[in-house]
Parts: sequence; C-alpha cells; structure tokens
Amino acid sequence: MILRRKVNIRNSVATRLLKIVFCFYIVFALLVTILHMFIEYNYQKGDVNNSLVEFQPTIESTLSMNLWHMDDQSLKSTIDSIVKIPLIVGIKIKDESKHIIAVDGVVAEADFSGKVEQDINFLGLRNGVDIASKSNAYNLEIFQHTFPIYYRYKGQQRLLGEVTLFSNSSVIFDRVKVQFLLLVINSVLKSLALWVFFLLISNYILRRPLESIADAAENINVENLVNFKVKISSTGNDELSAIENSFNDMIKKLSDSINKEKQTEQDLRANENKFRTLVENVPGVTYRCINDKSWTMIYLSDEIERLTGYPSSDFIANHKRSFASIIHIEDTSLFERVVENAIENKTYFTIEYRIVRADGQYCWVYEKGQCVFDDNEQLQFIDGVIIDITERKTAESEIRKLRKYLTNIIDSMPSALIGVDESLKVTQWNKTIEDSTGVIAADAYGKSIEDVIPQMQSELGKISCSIHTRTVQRNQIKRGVDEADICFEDVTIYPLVANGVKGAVIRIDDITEKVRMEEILIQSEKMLSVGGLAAGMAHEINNPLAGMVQTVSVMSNRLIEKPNMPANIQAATDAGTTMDAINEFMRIRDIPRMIATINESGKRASTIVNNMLSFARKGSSEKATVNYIDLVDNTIDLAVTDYNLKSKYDFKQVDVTREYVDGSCFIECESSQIQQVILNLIRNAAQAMQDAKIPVPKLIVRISHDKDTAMVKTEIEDNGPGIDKETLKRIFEPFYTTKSVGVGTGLGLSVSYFIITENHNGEMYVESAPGQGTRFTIRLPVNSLK
Amino acid sequence: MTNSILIVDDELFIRQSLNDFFMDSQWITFLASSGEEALEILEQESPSAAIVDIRMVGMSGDEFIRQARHVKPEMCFVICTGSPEYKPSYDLLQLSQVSGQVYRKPIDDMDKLENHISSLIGN
Repeated sequence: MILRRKVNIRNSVATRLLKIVFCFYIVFALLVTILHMFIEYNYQKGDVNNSLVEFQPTIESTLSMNLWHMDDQSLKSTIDSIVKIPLIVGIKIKDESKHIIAVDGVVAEADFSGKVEQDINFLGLRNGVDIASKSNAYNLEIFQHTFPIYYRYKGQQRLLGEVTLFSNSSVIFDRVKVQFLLLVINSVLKSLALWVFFLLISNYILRRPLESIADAAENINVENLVNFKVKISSTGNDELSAIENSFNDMIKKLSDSINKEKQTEQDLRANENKFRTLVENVPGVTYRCINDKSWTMIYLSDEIERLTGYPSSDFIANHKRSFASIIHIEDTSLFERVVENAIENKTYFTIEYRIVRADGQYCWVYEKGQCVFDDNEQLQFIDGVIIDITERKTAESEIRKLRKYLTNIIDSMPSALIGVDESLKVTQWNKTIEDSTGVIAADAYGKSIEDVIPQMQSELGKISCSIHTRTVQRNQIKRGVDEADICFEDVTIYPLVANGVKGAVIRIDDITEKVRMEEILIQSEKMLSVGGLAAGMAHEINNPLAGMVQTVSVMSNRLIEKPNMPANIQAATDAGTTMDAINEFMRIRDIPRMIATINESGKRASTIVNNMLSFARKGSSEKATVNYIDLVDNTIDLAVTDYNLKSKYDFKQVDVTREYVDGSCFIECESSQIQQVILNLIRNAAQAMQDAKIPVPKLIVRISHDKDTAMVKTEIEDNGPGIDKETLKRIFEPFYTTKSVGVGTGLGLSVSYFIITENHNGEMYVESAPGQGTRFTIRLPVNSLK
Repeated sequence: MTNSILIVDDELFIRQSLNDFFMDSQWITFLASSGEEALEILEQESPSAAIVDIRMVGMSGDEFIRQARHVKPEMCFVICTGSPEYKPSYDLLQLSQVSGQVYRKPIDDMDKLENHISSLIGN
C-alpha cells in the first residue's frame, strides 16, 4: 500500500518561499522605517529648534522685565512656567557678563550636560561647579537656542544677558511616538494580510498542483501506465504545465519502454521456456556450480532427485549437503584432478564416476562440464550435465564378465582352440594351444596359421574347404614314429557361419590318452564279458566238476589214503584177493598218480571258474573301511611267510623295503580282494626275480598319499628283469601269460586290474623296461586321512 | 550212536560221491533228488543233519530247509551249492539249525565237511 505523503504546510515550498520573501521584506521594511524615523527625527529636530526660536518672542519681554527688575520671585515663576511647556526641558540664563544666574531642568554648559534643580541667583552661580553638583548625567541629545535679552525702553535697548532654552530628543520621541506605533501596526497588518493571501494563493496555484503531481506519481504503476494522464489544475503555459507535459511525456516514454521491455521479457521467457524444455528433456542433470571444494551449486535441475534421491534444493548453495559430499570417496580425487586439468587448459572435461545415492547405493554417472570464464579470463562457473550410466556400466561390467567368462571357458578347454579368418590368419588362440606350442596368444594373433604351427600345413586344405563349404571337417592324425611316443590328435574344423563372419575354429584334441583308455576299456569290457559268461557257466561247470572231484576224492580215500577201512577188506575178501595185492597192483599201474591227476585237474578247473567269476562279482561284495597301510603291511608279512613248494620261490631271500606315509590311511574296500591283488603283485615280482636269478632281489613297497586327488598311491617296485613292450601292452589281458602252461592261469593280473579299477574305482598301471625292473602302481580313493 | 545224514541234491553223481564218502565214514545216509522227496523221507526218518543243494528242479533248497526245520527242529542243515554268487537269505542265517558256512561245489576237502557236520550235531 502506498502511503500518501502529506506535506505539512510548514514544510511547503510556498511557506519556504514565503519565509524567504518575508525575511527580506521585514529587513527591507525595517530599514525603510528606520530611515523614515531618522528623517522624521531630523525633521522634528529642526521643528523643535524652530519652535524654540519661535518661542523666544513669547518669553523675551517677560524675562527682560524680570531681569531688569531683578525680581527673583517673578523670574522663578516665569522659569517655572517656561519649564512646564512641553517643548522646553530646561533653561539657562546668564547675565551680561556671562555668569549663569538661573538654571532649571536639563541644561548644558561647557563640558557638562545634565538635569539640574532650579537655582536662581542674580549674583551669579558658580559656573559649572554648582550646576554640576546639582545635576545628573544626561544621555539624550540636547537641542538649545540661545538669544540675548534686551531691555527696551523708548527706543533704546540694553543688553541684560542671554537666555538658553533646552529641549531634547525625548520631546521628539513624544511627538513621533504615536506616529511610529501606527506605522508598525500598519506594517504588521499588511504583512499578515500578505502572508495569509500568499498562502491561500500558493495553496491554490502551487501546492495543489504539486500535490496532484505527487498523487499521480504515487498512483502511477505499471498496470495503469498506458492510459495514465496527469492533470494539473493549472492554466497557461507556466512551469507546472511544463511539468505536467514532461510528466506525461515521461509516462509515455516509460510506458513505451516498459512495453518494449515486456516484449523483450516475453521473448526472453519464450527463450527461457525453450531452454527449460530443452534442459528438462536432457536425459540427465544439468547444473551450474562454483569451482570450490564443495562444488557449490547455483543451479541444479530436478533430475538430480531421480538420480540421487535428494531434491535439487538440498544442493543449491549447499543448503543441506554439498555436491562433493555425494561423490564416491574413491572418485573424489580423480574428479578434482580432471576438473582442475580442464580449468587449466580452459577446455571441457568428461568424467565417469560414482555417486552415493540417498539409499546408500551408488550409481555410475557420466559428466561433461564446461568452464565459463569472464572477460578477464577469471573462472566464473562450471556448467555441465550429469547422466546416469549405471545401466551402461552394469552392462559393460556384464560384458567384461561375460568376455572373461568366455575366455575362461575357452582357456579352460582341454582342447586346443584356434580361430582363423578367411585368409587363415589367427584370430583366437587359447591357453591350451599356448601351452602346447609355447606361443603366446599376443604373438599368434594376425599371423598365418602355418607360420605359427608348421604341422598344420597338412590341414590347410581342409580348413579352406570347411570355410567355403560350411561343413565340419574331422581328421585324426597320428604323430610319432616310435611306439613309445606315438600320439594321436583329433583335429576338428568348424566353419563360422553366423553374422557373416567368415572363418573357422580349429579344435585340436590330444586323444593319445583317450585312445589308450579306449584300449583299456575294450580290455575291461572283454573281462566283463568273460565274467558274465563265467557267472552263467559256473553252476553248470561246478556240478559236473563236483561229481568228478568229489568222486575222485572218495576213490582216493578208498584206494590210497584209507585202504584198510572195513568195507575195503570185506570187498577184497569177497573178490578173493587182499588189499595188499590190490595196492601192489595199483602202485604198479600208477593208479594213485592218475587219481591225483584227476583230482588236481578238477581243482584247477574249479579255480579257473572261480577266478573268472571275480569279473562278475562287481559290487556284490561288502566293503569295509580299513587302514590301508596295515592291510598292505600284513599282506607283505603273509607273503614273506609264504613258501610255495611248487614254484619253489623263497621270499626270505628278497630284501623288502617298506616306505609308508606317516600315520594311517583309511579306504573303503573289500580287504580280501585288495590283499589278493597285493599278494599277486608281490608274488609275481618275487617269482620274476627268482626266475631271472637276480643276485640281490629287492622289492620296494611305497605308499604315499595324494591329497589333491584324495588317492592313496601304492608302488610295488622290483629290480627284476623288467617287461618288454609287447608284454607291457597286453599285461592286463585275461588269459595272457608268459608263464609256462600250468604255472599260471593268465588271470592273476587281469583279475587284479579288474578288482582295482572296477570294484574299487581305482587305477592300476605298470611301468617297466627290460633290464630296468618293474613298477606297478595302484591308486585308490581315500575315505579320509586320520 | 551212529550219525545219520540226509543228502539232498538233484545231481546223481554228487549225491553218490557224498553217499560214498559218508558211508565210508560209517554214517547212515538217506538220499533225495529233490526237496519234495527229502520231505517224504523226513516223514519216516530222523537224520541228524542234511546236506542241501540250492538250485534244484522243483522245490529249492532254501524252501526245503524252511519246511524241514518245522518237521525236524533238532536237525542241522549245511548248504552246498554250485552257484558261486549264492548267499543264504537272511531268515535262514538267523536260524541256529542252519550253518553259516556255505560249501561250494566242488568240495575240495570232504573230511572238513564231515568234521564240521559232526561238530554241529554235537558229537
């Protein structure tokens, strides 16, 4: 609300004007009055002097008479009456010899003037002294008129003395008093009238128009500017109307410029709207900040709330938090460095960093900022945009992870993988091929495949063919000449057909092991089929075998072992012979040997059947957890005490070294089967060494524990004659034996192999060379090591 | 007192060989070629023990033992089979009359068998 500024009349321009005019007027009037009074005074003074002169004849005769007669009484009354005249304030009379004879009232003599008491002395007053003693000092101006007194008689005259009449200014004052009073009253009245009149007039022609200008000025505003007109109640072409015109002109100009401004503002607003829309549509945060420690924000778009969870107002002028406070602590120094660098080089900067959101999560952002400099090249602001790139970062990290993962997969492949393009240049080179060729991937990329692997020369045709025909090409290559280092490689060429990329992937697998394994597998299968056959056959064979063996056993009882049993004697008697004769007959005819042969053969057949059954007994046996070391140790003890009459090997001659891992080693197994295997190996070794007549036969039984694979490894090593390659290849084959017929069945090692690999999920292999001893190795899974 | 033994086997030669052996050892023997026949014999006779084959035509050895042990609670049974994979069923092993040791054909050492049976029947 606009307060109307009411101008107090005392402060009005009119009043001030009036004051100035009046001051001047009064001073002037005063001066004129004083001049007037001065002139009047002087005029009056002349008039008084004239009056004094005119008064002379009136008193001349009386005084002449009085002096002539020297009548002091008369003189006294004459003086009294003279002094009573208003015009005269004093009288002095001197005789003819200039002696003062009478004074009264205000007199002046020589250097003295003052008011004196009446004093008359015809003899003369002591001049000056008497007067002075009888008078008071007097300040007023004194006028005097002196004239001689003559005694006239009959035409003669005689000087009697002289009279001085005194008058003073108070007489004049008395005279002009009223006149002056009237003059002053007149002046005051005129002034007052002028004052009032001036005020009224000035109020009408000055104050009111001015007030209306003030009113107008107060009431004027932007809204009513266009049609606003100041109307001052003034006539003519005076200053006020000039003001009015100028005022209206000014309003018009103002209005015009405001309109222009409005137009500019509208344009600006439109522009701003355009920019705002642009800014709002920017898929990120736009900002303007100051280059300080906290990146104090001057402007920050609302998008920041979506990004960080904090409203933009939080950051403006660091109201609640600074922008620096939400930059991830690990990125702060990087951020500062980048911005500093940009400022130094007066260029823009881009940076990717993390922001800690309100919920504690962080998000990745991309920021591009520009330093804004003023004309003096002083940095003013930094303007820029911040864009959420969390998704991109996540995707990037996913891609990186995926790439790593794929590389890992490719590198983890046991196969050697080589990627080639259409011109057979290497594009992919995995770890396995690195290891097998010794060429690292970086060296292989871009080179022709035959340069990197000369052996691939033979496959080039196939690779090209695969690429052009888009077919998978397979080839198995056998390398090496010597039986021992023969290896097999499987080369598969896959054409790359997707996405228009031409090229191929070559997979090289070392299948030597696989080929060997296949051979072993075939062996196992052979054994299994033998086992299956044996199981079916066993019952059928065992029954006739039982008929044979048991009957022979009874026969042997009757004829050889217990010939004197009562039934025998009875039967011999009945036949007319004696048991002795029969015994003798049988001895001569070799019957006991024949019976023994039948018995032995039957038992051997039975053993073979039973051994063959071992192949069929997979998993049927009951396993128990045993301490493997104890088991092996006991088996060696058993073997040492074993003395086979028939094969005549003496185990006591063998120097057995036992190297065991510390502590116990528990495995789940069927101990009798394991014992059978160990025993079999030890016996074989002892037998072989004995047969080869090794002077100091040595046997080392070594048990170690491989914690990585959780397997217990048993090595049985001899210094025997060794085994040749041909035998080595077939050593686990069923029915393969090097022993003479009747000494071995050829099943021992194959049964052992079967027990270890099939029944106990272990491994068994042999290393040997002629003249260098033999080492059998058994690896069995461990339960736990205690 | 003379021991008696029942031999149950469908294989004639086996039956005979066992019969010969036990006769030589002064045992009284009863022969049966099947479980059914053996049960018939048990109606008349009371042998101390029986050697039983498992795989037979008709009634199996297991089944025979299950039935016979009710008829002759004091009798002992020893299983003798040609099947290498055979294992006596759990219920049979629980019985004190049935020997836990199973003999495989061919029986290497028949003296051992005799001694075993003798110890089973308490002589």
